[in-house]
Amino acid sequence: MAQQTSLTQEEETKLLAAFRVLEEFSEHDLPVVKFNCRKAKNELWQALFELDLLPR
Amino acid sequence: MRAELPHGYWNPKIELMPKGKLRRLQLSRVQEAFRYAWKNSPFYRRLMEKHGVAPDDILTLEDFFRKFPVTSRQELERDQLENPPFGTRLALPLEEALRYHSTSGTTGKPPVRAFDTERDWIWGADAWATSLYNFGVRPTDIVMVAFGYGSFIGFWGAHYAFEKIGCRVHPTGSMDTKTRIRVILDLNVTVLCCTPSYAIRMLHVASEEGIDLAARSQLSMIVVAGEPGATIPSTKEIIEKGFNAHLGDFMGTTETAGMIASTCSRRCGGLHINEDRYLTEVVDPNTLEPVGYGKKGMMVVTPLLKEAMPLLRYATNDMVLMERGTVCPCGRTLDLFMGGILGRYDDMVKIRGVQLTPQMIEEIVRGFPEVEEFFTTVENRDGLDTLLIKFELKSGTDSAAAEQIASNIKQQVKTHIGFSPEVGLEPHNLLPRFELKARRFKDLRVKVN
Repeated sequence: MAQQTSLTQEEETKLLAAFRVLEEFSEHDLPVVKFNCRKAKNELWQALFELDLLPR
Repeated sequence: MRAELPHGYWNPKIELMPKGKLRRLQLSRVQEAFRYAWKNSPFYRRLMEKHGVAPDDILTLEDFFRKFPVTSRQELERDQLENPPFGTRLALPLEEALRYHSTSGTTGKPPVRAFDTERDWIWGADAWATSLYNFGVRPTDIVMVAFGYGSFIGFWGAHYAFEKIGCRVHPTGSMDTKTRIRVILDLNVTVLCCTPSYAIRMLHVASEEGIDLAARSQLSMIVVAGEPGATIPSTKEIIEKGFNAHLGDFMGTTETAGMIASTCSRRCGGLHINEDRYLTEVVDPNTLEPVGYGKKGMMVVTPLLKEAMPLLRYATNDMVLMERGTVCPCGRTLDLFMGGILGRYDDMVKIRGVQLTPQMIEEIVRGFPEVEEFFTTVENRDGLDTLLIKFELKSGTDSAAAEQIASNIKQQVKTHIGFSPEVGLEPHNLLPRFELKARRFKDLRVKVN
């Protein structure tokens, strides 16, 4: 089976939404939420960067 | 004057949780860990079948404690020797593991080898992050992690945790002590992370270089792990005074990874147990019966939900004393290990009828500020067990003082422990120095089986 070579529009939207959620929670008051979401956000940022999907 | 440490909770949902609710959470996690090990770990499946216990038999924490035996380090070593190189505890295909680490290894035996998945690794670092934040570490801190960054797990978890909190971290793997001191001063390091022995070593080297770290550094916190020094009053005083910083004790084990218990910012003398991640018991080392709050016993620990290498009821040989969390004014409900690790049962020796741990000697010898390093042996001389304490003076100390110090050490050992040792001065820099896992005690008596 051929490898999928790009994201569908729906997948791109979902990924961007996940990033925005993580971005929001990176500023949360609870340290356990704030610091873990910030790390996850930065990892997801890397995927969005490589896919050229970062919001401009 | 040291500023107070900032108070806060990493995860108040857990840290302030009523005890009954916390026990129910632990039970559900133990049941899951037990089921996972039954299904995936050949080592534990064999052990469970041998003792006639299956996941459905664990309905309470008491069931777990009563029906399932403890796992000793010797059993892990034996499994590894019989099934080289990694034993049969591994619960998933090796290619799914992400990281390898090992224990420091006991004399003549191979180290216990362990793997982590990415989830395990994050779990361990997060246990460290919880402990560091609760001690007072914040994103503005500048950190030096002074250890070798080898296969020994040491401070790897701490490194990742400091990064997660957002601190600026300076790894100093290959640096010598003088260079590390220079970095502390030049880069305004606020948190030093190392073993207690190495913290003292750093103070001695700084002193030889004419540097007063208490006056000249920005250090406000010293995070120590790996040895019991932080809870030995005389050692603690040397470190806190020498750096003019708060000392935090952090206890874990290589086999469990992560951080089992640690000092909070209120520093009540106990270490709060990360009870959502570790189920701990304190038992009599001989009968393995629980000893309850307020009594010394051996720590048995179950890390909750390890993926690569599950560990159930691991007998650590660490001597601890558990108290209720309410003893500490910080508000946490999490139980405490008072004084951290008080010693190791496998380090304990009997001399002339007296049970002795290396910490008892350290507490006395570190009470003499002129002493830089020491080493203790037990020997059999003409049929009599003899304790020998060798010590070195700090450079620049008048050697005429040695005789008086030796006599005072001898007197204090006699008073506090119950018999007279032989005490002697050694030339400077002859005794071993340590960066990790200091061993200043050796029993040289011939054992007759």
